[in-house]
Amino acid sequence: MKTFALAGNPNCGKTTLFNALTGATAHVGNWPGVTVDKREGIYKGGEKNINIVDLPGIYSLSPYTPEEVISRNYILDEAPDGIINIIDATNLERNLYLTTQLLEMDVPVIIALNMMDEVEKLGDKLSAEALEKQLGVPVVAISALKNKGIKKLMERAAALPASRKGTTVLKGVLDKQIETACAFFEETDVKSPLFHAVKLLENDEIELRHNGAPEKLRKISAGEDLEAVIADARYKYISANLASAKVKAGKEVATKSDKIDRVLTHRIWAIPIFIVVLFFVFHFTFSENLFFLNGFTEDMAWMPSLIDCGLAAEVDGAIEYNNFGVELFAVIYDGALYSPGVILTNFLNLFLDHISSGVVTLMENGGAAEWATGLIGDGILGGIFAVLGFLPQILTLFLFFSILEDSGYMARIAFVLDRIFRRFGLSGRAFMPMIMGFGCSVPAAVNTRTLSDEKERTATLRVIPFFSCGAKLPILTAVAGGIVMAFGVGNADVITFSMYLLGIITAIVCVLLMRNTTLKGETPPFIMELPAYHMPRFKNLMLHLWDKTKHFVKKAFTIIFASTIIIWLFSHLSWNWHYLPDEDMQQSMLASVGMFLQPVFTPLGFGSQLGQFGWVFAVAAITGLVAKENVIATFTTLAICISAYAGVGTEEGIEEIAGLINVIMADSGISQPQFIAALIAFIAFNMTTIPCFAACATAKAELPKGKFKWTLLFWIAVSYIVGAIIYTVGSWWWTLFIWLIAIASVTVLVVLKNLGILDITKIFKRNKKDGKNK
Amino acid sequence: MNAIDIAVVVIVCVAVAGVIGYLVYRKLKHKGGCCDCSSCNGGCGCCSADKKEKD
Repeated sequence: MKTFALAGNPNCGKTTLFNALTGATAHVGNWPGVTVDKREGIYKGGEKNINIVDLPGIYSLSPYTPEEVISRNYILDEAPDGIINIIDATNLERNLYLTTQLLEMDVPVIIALNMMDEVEKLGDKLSAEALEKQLGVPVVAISALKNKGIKKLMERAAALPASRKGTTVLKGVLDKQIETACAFFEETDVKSPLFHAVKLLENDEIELRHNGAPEKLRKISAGEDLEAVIADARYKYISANLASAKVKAGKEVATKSDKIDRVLTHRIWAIPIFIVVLFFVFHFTFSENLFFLNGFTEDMAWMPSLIDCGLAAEVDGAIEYNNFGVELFAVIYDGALYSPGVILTNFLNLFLDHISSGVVTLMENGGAAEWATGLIGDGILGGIFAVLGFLPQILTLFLFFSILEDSGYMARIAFVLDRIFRRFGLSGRAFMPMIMGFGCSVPAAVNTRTLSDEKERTATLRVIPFFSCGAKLPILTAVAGGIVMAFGVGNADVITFSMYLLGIITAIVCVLLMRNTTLKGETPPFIMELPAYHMPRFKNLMLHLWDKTKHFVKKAFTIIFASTIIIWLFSHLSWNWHYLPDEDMQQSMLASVGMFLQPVFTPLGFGSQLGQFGWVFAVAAITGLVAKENVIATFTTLAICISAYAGVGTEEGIEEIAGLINVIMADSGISQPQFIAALIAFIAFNMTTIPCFAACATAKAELPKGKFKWTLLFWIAVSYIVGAIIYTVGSWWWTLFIWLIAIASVTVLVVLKNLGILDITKIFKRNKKDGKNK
Repeated sequence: MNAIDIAVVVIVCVAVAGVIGYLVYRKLKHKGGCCDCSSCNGGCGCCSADKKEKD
């Protein structure tokens, strides 16, 4: 089977073409650097099947970042049968720069002129035939997005000759030097001698390292900046011979994207606009008071609840609706109008509640034992449904993020934030993996490959878990909802939004500290091509959401399922392996382990001060290390049992958390402000601590050797300090000054060290010496 | 123990065995270590499954 590699500049549509050719559903995005690894698929539309390899985008074959190296190495070492060079027809000259390098290799090349529909829309004309004549390789006009010209492209690709001799556009420039270098490589039997000869003259780092040219050849380029000469010659050739293939409709006018950018990337307004956009995203996802129609505080509330209207009544702490119609209406409105995210969540939870109570009733009527009903109802269904119940909110949030990404807005934010990031020691490029962290830390960690500087990459990778991922969202929503429900304070969406901001601030502070101490170094320059704005594509959005759903549901029915059973079993088994009913759960194995660990979390507020049931927090934090969804699965599984033990109604969902909060507060006697601070510290701890196993494995694979153990320590230290600050300051405001003094002292030490006034290593050595002398 | 209790034990045991079996299978298939990023056969950087399948 023949193999063709898709090569081209970032964001020129390689993955869109790959999906169109292979029927795959690989992630596509409207920003450069979405693909960071090669992926393969099979094209079955022709006479014979063809293996297609999608490569990360590259601007030239002299790579700077790890993902660019992957592309170069694949093309050179794996020797595909041909290269399909995709060119963004709207940016012809820049894209052809890579083409001139690909043509120097001894590999058959075919050019796909992508986005021809955009060219036509602008009224421009581009002749594929004229380009083909000039370049000497087949050129086919296509639109990968609209599936136009793809069949013709593959027909011509299949008909490519088995071999091709490299050609260069540098004729008349450095002819003698190229000839000498080329002759050397031809003698040594290296593949694509012309390509290596030109790279050698460019003083290409990889070329010098791998092909170890003799001193004689190195002298050819010594003392001259031939890289600049060659780049200049390539562009001159392109504008003289190739750019003429494109005829512009008229004089350049500001495009729609330019006009929008005048506002969205404005020097002053860009960041406030971004914060407002983010706030509305969170408001539409989490708010139980849409557009604050019911006022900003409880005193301003004017909308009647369903109980006020006589449509529902409170019976034993639980709300009973007059009929199913009212229950269905409560999904949208009950004392306030809910946001779309909350409506969808309520709807799914209504459905899941009916399944759960139906199964339990059936089992009870069938005479099932208490342990069997408990295991199925409280353990398995309670745990899995608690996690699944948050799926609509996760999907709503990611729908908004996908819209922002697909429209091209996120790429602008990377550009806008570069100015600010630079002050903290990062470039704007680090923003893309960070924003991906809101979805899942695993692909975000892989995406750090787009960062060329190793220290910048390490710093970014370490703070990615602080950008709360989808799995942490249930912790935020459930605990924030529990706080509002139990204490009647604040807005759940404002707490959630603030926690996301806290994660971002923690990341900034940590990066600042790292880039001034252990990971000190120059911030690399940031150049990014801003993609044109376009309407988000429905298919892309749905694919993103489908991926998220699949991943989440798969996790719920594997890891979460197994975890809930284990948690329920160990919370209902004594050390001599006897079954314990809910009321004796305090004697269980899990409770003993939890109580043993409980004091560790005392400085964070969810330790010993929470009394006999506080161990639930310790256990939830520990089980979260396997998968973050486990925190809430553990919480709800144990909350149902504890609430039953305390004689409190066992409502489903966030009510369970609120019930647990009330039970613990009544039992431990902790004050309300202290408990609120402890709960927020609990969210912050889970947000910033060691991420799940999957994210740890990826971080280990992506970090430089030896850095992983320090990274683990870093996550533990940061989460502990952040949790302790929140709890102590929230409980006793004056402790803020102690923390400020501590932070100021660390800052002064760092500044003194960086100025060379203080050398900590010398102090350590002196102390050691003094100790020995004594 | 009545029939429902026995059914619960059997179903739970079979389901747990299935989950553990699936997790072990996935770990073995993705020799480089599955990172659970949901991009199996899609060029995941953490596992060598793609390469193995191609060979």
